Amino acid sequence: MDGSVLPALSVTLRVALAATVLCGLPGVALGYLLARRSFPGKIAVETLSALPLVLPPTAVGFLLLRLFSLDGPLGAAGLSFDVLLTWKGAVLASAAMAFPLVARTARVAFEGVEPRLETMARSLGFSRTRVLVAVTLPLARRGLLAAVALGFGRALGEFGATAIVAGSIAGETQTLSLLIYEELNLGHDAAALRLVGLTAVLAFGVLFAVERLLRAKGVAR
Amino acid sequence: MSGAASTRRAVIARVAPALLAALAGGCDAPPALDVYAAASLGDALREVVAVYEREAGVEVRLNLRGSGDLARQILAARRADVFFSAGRAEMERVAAAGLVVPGSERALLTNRLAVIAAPDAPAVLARPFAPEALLDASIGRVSIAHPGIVPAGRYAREWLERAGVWARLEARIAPAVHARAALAAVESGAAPVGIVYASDAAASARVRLVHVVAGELAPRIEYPCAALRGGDERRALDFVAFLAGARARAVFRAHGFAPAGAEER
Repeated sequence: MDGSVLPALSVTLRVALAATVLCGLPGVALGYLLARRSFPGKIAVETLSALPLVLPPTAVGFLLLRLFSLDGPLGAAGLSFDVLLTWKGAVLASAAMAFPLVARTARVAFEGVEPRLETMARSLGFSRTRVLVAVTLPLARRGLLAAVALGFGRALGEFGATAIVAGSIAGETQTLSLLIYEELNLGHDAAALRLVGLTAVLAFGVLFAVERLLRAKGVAR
Repeated sequence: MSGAASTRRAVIARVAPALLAALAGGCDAPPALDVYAAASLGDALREVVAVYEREAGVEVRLNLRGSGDLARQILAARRADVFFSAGRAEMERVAAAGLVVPGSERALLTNRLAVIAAPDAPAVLARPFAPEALLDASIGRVSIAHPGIVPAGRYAREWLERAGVWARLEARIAPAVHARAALAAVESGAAPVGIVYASDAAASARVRLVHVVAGELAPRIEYPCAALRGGDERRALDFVAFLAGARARAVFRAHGFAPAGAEER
């Protein structure tokens, strides 16, 4: 069985990385909107975007499965994204679960930026975009990196939604967390324990990075 | 700050494309043959596949789960090339959707049920074994595969129903996600007794074989296998033919399965 550890590690890192890329930009953008703009329906957007934090992952997985099934609404509309039981499905499920964490952490990071500095920049004739790029983003940088790292960490360990949308196919969708479950069900306890150790090391690394980012000098928090 | 920052930027600029390339390249490998097979076939199939991959030069990807799960996945995503089910009902569901290559389906193997116990389980399960012995509440939980979604569980329930003990035993059943998981529950001590495939029971040194179910009450356990439509059907048919061949059969027999019927060879 140990032949399946390296593929699973590689799938885990690839899926988590791709999921972070997929949900990183929209997550940070939403965090900015929630921190700096007011618009009608803001509370609804806040609540909806946080849902995957609270909904069971199996519920999110089920909804994605129905949505992307060939006989689901997208399939019926002639849109076949061909994501079920593929690495793309694993990325999609992980991104959906990681998105709210990225958005919420990014929001806090933006809220930690002193609004006076932005107002001053505006009064110096900076455009809104220039204020964002030259003032807000650099000041929120560490918090935003932490947001993305947290999203990556969440994606690393995703299980429920991924299992439903992408299954557990070795070398394609079988991440470490799915492999642990598989080994457990096959009665390979020693193998499962080794995998738990490996995932603990990964998780430690990610959390350590997040803590360092958040604690470093000049943190926007 | 600018010196360190620009070095960092340079590193990122060099590393990022490599990461992206690894991401894209790793995920678009040449198409493998996707074989969805009942979890109870796992050990035997891994051996057979190793031989096949070497000889045919085709990469085979095994998806081993409960057959009900597999049928659902096949219907939802249509990515499987071969379906090797532990039950007829699951194969029929896939066939009803028009996904089976006509004429490719064949029952390849048969199996039996076995009652197993953890080494330290109560001794009430003495021989000669009778199904009523399972009704003794001091035994505790009885592990079987989930009868609603896994053939192994359905067979177990069928046997217990025919023996007239199911209704009284049902409350003490601990359902598992697939046949091998029902065995693992007894191995780990989570359940003291289980009803699993004889092939799985034989593979485990950590459980005591109490009884192999035979005779009139025994359910008929067959493993149908078929090539599925939508992919490279020729390769799928070739793999199914290999599974039916003498060498694959020898491996299956060594793992406790019996070849099905006399119609093939």
